[in-house]
Amino acid sequence: MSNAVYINSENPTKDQWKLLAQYAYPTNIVRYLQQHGFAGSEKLVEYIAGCFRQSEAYFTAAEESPVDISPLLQYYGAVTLLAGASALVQGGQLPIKGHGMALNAIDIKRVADAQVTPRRNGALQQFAGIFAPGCLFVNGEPWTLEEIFGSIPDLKRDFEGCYQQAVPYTVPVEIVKRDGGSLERIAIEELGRFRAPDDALANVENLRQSYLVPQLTSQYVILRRKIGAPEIGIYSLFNEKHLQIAHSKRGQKLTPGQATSMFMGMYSLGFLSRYHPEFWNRFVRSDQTGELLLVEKFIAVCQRYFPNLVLNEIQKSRIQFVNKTKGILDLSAPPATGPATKPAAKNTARD
Amino acid sequence: MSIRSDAYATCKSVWTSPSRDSLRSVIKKLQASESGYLAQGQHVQILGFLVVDQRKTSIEQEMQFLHIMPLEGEDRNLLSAAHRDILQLNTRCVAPLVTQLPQCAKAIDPYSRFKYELPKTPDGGVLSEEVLAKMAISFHEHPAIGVAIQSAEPSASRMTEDKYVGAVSVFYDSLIKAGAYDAPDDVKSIMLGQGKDSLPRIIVRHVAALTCIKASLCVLDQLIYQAILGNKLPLLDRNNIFEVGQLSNNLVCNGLSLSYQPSEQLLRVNVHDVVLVKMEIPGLPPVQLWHVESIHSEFSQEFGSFSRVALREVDENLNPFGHLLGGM
Repeated sequence: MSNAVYINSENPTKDQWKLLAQYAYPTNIVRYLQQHGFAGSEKLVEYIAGCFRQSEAYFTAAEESPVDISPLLQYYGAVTLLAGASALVQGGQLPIKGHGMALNAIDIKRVADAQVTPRRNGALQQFAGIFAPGCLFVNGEPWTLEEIFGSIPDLKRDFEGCYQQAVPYTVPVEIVKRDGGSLERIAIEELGRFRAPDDALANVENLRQSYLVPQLTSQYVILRRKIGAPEIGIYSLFNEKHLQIAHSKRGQKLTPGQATSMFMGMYSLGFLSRYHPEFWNRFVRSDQTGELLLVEKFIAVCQRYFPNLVLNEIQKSRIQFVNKTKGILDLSAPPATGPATKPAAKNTARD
Repeated sequence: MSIRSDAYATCKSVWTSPSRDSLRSVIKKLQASESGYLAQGQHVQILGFLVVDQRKTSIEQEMQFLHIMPLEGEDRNLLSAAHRDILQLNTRCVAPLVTQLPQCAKAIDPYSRFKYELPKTPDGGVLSEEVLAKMAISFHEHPAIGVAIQSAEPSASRMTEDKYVGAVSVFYDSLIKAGAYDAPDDVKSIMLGQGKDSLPRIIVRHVAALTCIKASLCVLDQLIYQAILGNKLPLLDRNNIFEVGQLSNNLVCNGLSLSYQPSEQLLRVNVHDVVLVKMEIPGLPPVQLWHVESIHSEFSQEFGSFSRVALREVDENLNPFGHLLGGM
């Protein structure tokens, strides 16, 4: 989603829920449904309103709870929010029966080793059909939590620090705007865990359709967008663009998207804490590896960003909360910084 | 059929010419040589190599660091034969005009600024008699020929050969200097300030028509030269263009600026090359020939490599100043 909408906010978490809370009111729900060509029965409207209200309550409860139980509350918040949002954007309640995934955490040593196995029919696949179109989970093929953590842009640094050998599933891209046309570039060091830059890029879905042939320099992989091509990639909480590396499952390449990956992660942690207290209690109380820091960061990122991602899907734009001074339109030349250098003098003269 | 489509057919015949492969090898060899840059800088295709060879001694005296290897006899013969074909083609293309207005012949000859006498060489060029004849007949339909003949009356009697050469050369240079995105001020003031039947406008129309003929011959010759070197025109399309810059529809032509990324398929484009642009751009045909006016290339570790080209549209008559003829 490339059409970014910037909203000034001192408290993005609170303000995203204010925007989502619109859909807890029948008038707004009916208006949204009508704008999108849906009639919407009274029952549907109440269902949507209830989902949005409950979801906020679960997320608020998760925020105020210790890590012993917060993952489960957060998952309930997430699944309820997706149920309501799906009904809103689809104009009808999804026939959901079950979570659509199962957790296997027997004899695991690390949280990262827990496996979640998607089922083709269930909440996960149905939500993915709306929030990650084209992602058809392969029935019975497990995903490790390591893979899921590695797919979240905001966890990349912590992920690579925590799991020394693990290969990430997201690569940060720097957008450079220049007079000669903008470009995107990946720093070579960001690809250090892949055998070669090509290994990473070959697994980015639709890369060829969106970009010209990548150029490799000693410092960067240079990517230039094809004219008129749709944008691919996702954005971190702090507006950093990332390309997603597809997961290979039985020869099929899957890119579930950020919200779906988070949803799978929240399910895994929620059920790990709920149904494997013997593991979770020891982990929370006496983790020796630092993995707890990563898990806490995952929970924090989901708490802040997951509702934002769902809001983006509802409003079909990328809502970015910023904190900037308003009311000043500065059209003057940029001030010279430090001693007058040739480039600064040139820019000033041109401007 | 248009002059452009007949030019394509001419180029295809070049591919099957018996001397094409050896000629291409010679040109590639010369392009890579020390003097290749000098020769290509003349922008007169094959003649550039022959002229540098002819002026070898004086060039070496002027540029003492440069050592120019003389052309081998066989190479010179090949180049000369091919250039002779092109000269013949040009002469036959403009025959109906030159018959009526012989004093303009030199002015519309793309190579007239070089005094070079081709050595007598055996036959063996790149264009057969049949191809030459067909292309020439097609070129006779160039609208500028009719305009030049019709507008000749007020000026022809007073114009000597030298005056024609001077007028066309000055006018051509002013169009090039104004660039692909604008018309020269003089042209604007004539076209917007003088009636169609006014004497100054008729005279300028005459010179403009001759300039269009010369420019169209330049494009035709360039296409043949490129056909000797390769089977495809450089293609700028969605697979290498990443920015469409300035687009100008002015009194002289359509001008366009594009930024593209070099690739295996499109390593290098040179100034004066004719390229094919295949892209949906509002107001322009989806596939069109363009003349490369200028190139700006960059390479850095930080931003990779790219080139920005300024292009001038070439119409179906191979005329890069197509709007000028219609508006004048």
